[in-house]
Amino acid sequence: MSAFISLNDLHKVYRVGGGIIRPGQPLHAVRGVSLDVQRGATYGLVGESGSGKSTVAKMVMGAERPSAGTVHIEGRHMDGRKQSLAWLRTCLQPVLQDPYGSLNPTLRVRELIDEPLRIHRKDLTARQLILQVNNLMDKVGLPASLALRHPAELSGGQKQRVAIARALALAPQCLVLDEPVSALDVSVQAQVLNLLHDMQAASGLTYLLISHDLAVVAHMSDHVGVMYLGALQEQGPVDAVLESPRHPYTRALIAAAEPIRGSLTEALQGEVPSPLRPPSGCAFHPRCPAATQRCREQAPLLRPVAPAHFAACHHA
Amino acid sequence: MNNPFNGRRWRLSDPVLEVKNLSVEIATPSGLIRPVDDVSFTVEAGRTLALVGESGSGKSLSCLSLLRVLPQGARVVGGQVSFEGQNLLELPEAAMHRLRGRRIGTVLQDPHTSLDPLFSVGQQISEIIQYQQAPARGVARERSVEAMRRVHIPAPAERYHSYPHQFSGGMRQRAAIAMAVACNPSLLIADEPTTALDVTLRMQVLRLLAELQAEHRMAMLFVTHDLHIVRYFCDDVAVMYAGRIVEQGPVEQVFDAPAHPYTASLLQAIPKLSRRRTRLLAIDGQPPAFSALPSGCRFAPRCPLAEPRCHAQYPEWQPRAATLNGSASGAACWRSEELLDGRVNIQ
Amino acid sequence: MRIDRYLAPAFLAVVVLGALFAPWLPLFDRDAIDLASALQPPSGLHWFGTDNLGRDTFTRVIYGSRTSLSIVVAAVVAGGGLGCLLGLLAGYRGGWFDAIIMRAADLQYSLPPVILALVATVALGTGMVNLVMAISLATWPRFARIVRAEALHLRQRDFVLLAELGGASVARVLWHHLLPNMLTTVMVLVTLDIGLIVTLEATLSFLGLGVQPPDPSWGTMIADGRGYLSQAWWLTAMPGAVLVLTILAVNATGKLLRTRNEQPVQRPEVALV
Repeated sequence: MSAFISLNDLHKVYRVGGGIIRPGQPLHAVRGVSLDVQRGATYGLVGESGSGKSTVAKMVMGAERPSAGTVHIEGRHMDGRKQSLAWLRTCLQPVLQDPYGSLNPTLRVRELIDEPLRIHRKDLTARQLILQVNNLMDKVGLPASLALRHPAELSGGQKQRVAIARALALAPQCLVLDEPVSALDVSVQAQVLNLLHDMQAASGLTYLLISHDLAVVAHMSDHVGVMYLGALQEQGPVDAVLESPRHPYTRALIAAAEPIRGSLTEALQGEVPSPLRPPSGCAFHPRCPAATQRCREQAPLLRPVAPAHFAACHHA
Repeated sequence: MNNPFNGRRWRLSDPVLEVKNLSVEIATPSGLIRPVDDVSFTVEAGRTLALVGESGSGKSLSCLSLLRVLPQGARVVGGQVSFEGQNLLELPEAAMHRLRGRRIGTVLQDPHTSLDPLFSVGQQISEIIQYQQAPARGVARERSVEAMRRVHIPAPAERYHSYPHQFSGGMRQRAAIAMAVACNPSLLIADEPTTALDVTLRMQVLRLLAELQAEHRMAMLFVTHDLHIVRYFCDDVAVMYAGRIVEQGPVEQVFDAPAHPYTASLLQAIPKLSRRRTRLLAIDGQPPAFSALPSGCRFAPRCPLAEPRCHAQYPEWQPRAATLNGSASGAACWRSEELLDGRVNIQ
Repeated sequence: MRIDRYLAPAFLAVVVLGALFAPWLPLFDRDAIDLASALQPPSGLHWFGTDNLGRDTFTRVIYGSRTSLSIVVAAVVAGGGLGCLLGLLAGYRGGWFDAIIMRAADLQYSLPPVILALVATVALGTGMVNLVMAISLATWPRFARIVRAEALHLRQRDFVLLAELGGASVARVLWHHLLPNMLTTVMVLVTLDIGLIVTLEATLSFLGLGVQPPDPSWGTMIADGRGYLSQAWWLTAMPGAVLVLTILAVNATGKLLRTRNEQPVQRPEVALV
C-alpha cells in the first residue's frame, strides 16, 4: 500500500542576507528528510525552533518548492506546476498556527469559509453556498449565529474552528496542521484536539501534524518524527518512540515535556545553534551528554534500531 | 552537581507578600468590570506560588496591580497588599518606585522586548544597579558582570558590551533575569518567563530560577498557564477563573486531589505522553465575559457537577486540612468535599 | 455626544451641500455685473461683500466651491485610483513591476507637485479635464508608495498565503484580501491629499493655468482679489478663509472617520490578564 504522503530526501536551502551583487549565506533549513504518512493515519512532526518542521509542512502544502528531493501525494509527484498545485488543493488543505493571522479581519465568517467554494465550485448557487457553509460550521461545532461575525468578535478557539471549516470546504482527504493548538488556552486546546480526533474517526482523514509540544504530538499521532536543525533524528510508531527512545535528543524532549518534580531532569546545556552555522558531524553533538569524537566528525544516518523505528545516532 | 531543588523545604516561613481581598476595576464601554475580584494569597520566603489560569482569568493583572503599574482606566478598588510589613497600596509613588527593581524584581514573558535594543546588555544591568544602589561607577560595572555570571552567561566580561540582538533568545531571558535579581530582591514576580522559549531551554531557565531562589531565599510569584511547569517547579498554587481564586494549596495536594471541578477539568484536559489516541476531557464553552458574569459560581454554567445552589449563590470558601506551612488551602465550591471524597467525579 | 467633535464634518457637509445645490439656492446671479454696488464690504445684503464688478462674493464663493470640489474629487479618484492600483501591483508582485513603477514614482516625486502640475498644464493646455489630469499626475506617486508598503507588509500574512494556496487569482487577492485591509491607510492618505489637491488647484488657477474666467474658483478669486487688498480685503480673504477651513475640516473629518473605523482595541480584560 503506497503512502498518502511520501517525502523523499527533501532539502530546502534559503539564501539569507543577500543583495544584488552577492548571494546571501545559505541556510539549510531542511536536510534530507524522508518520511511516509499512511492514509487515514496521523504523522506527528515534533521539534524546537530551527528544526525545519514548519518548512517541511510548507513544502507539503505547496507553499515552498523543495531545493532537492521529491514530494509525492497519493503517488503523484508534486513538481510545482500549476496543474499539480490545482490538484493538490482538492485533496490536501492547510491549517496554520495563528488563528489571528490566518483569517482576513475584514471578512465575515461565512465569506471566510465559502471562499474556496467560490473559487473552485463556480457551479454552486448562492443558496447552495450558504447551505454548504452551514453544514461545515455544524461539522466543526460553530453555532450558525456566528456566520455574520468578523474574526475580531470570535474567541481563539472559534477562530481556529473557522480555519478548520474553511480547510474542509473542498472535502480534502488530508490536512496539514502546523501548530494548530499552540496559541490556544488549555481547555480550548482540548476541544479542538477532540474535534480533530472526531473528524478523523468519522471521515478517515489523514493528518500531518506539526508541533513543538510533544504531548500534543504524542496524543494525536500514530507515527512520530523528531527533528533537530533540519534533519530527522528519530522516527517510528508513537509507542515505540515514546517508550523506548533511542536518540538522546528525543529523551531530552520527553524529560522536558513532563518533568519530574524535584529532579534535575537532565537539563540540556546550551541552545539550538543557528541553522546558518550548523555544528560539524552530528548536529546535536555540542549538547549531547554522550557525544564522542566520532559524533563530532561524522554525521550519523537514520538507521533502523527496531522494526519501523529509526534513529540517527552512532550510539543508539 | 548540586540540585537546587533539594533545599526548598522551609516550613513555617515568614510571608514576604500577603495579598488580602485585592480587587481591580476597569472602566470599559460596557461598564465597570472587575477582572480581579477579592483575590487573596500569600508568598513566603524561599517558596514559589504559582498563579494559574487561562487567558482572561486575571492572573497577570493581579501581578501588575501589586506593582501598581496598572493600565489606563484600571484602578485598585479594595484590599491590602502587605510586602515586608508595608501596605503597597498606600505607599506614595516615590517609595513604590524605590521598591520596584530593588526589593521586587520582575521577569516578563518576551525575551525580545524585555531588553532595550539600543543599549548593551551589560549597560542595562549596570543602570539598574546604579539606580537602585548608587555605587561608584566602576563598582556598578563589576556587579553587572557578576550578575551576568550568576545567570550563567558565558564570558560575561566580554559580553558586557554586546547588544540584545547579538544574544540568543535563551541568553536574552537570562539577561532579563539578571536585571531582575541584580539587587537581590526579596520577591520575584515572573509572568510566563518560559512560555516563549524552546522546551529544552525552559528547563535550564527554571533551574536557574531555582538556584537564584535558593541562594537568597527569594519568594517567587510565578504566573503561568502551563500545569506541567507548575507541578515541576512551584510549591504552592492558586488557580484563578474569571477573576477569582477558585482553589489554592500546595502543588502536590492540589494536583493529586483537586478540590474544585475547574482544577480537575484542567488537569484532565492537558494531553499527556502516556495517554494516547483517545479523546481528552474537554470543558464545553468558554469563560464568561466580565461584563456578563453569571450569578452564583462563575464556573457553574460549564461545570459538570453544577447543582441549583451553584447557580444561585457564589460558593463559600471550603478550607482543606491545614498543611504544614499553614497557607490558605481550599476551594470555592459547594461540592468540594464530595469531589475530594470521591463521591462524585467530573467524568 | 460632544458637539465640537462634529463641527468639522458639519462644516464640510454645509460646503458640499452648498456646492451641490447652488443653482437652486437663493443666491445672487453669479455673473451679473452691477457697477453701482462695486466693492462693498460685507453686509447684511452681501454677506461676503462684492467685487470690483459688483458681483456678490458669497455667491461666487459657493459657485467656486462647485468647481474646486469637483476637480478635487475627480483628481482623487483618478490619481488615488491609479496610485492604489500601481502600488498594489508593485507591492504584491514585486520584481519588474515593482522596479519600474517605483522608479517612475521616484522620478515624479523628485519634482515638487506644483511644478509638475504646472508643466503638465502648460503641455496639455488649460481646461478642467487637463487640470484634473495634471493634478493626478502629481499625486499618484504618494498613493503608490504607501499602498506598496502596505501590500508588502500584508502579503506576508497567513491569510494571504492561504488564499494563494487556495487558488485565488491575483485580482481576487488584491481586491478581497489586500485592499480591504489597507482601507484605513488609504482613507488617511485621501484626507491628507485633499488638502494638497485643493491647494494645487487653487495655485494653478491663481497662476491662470487652471480655471478660466468668468468661472469662479477659489484660486481665481484669491488671485483676482490681490489687486484690491488694501481697499477690499474681503475679495481675497473670504475665498481664502473658506479654502483654509475646508482643508482643516477635511483633515479633522478624516481623523474622526479613522478613529471610528479602527478595530476596537482588544478589550482590556482579555489583553492583560
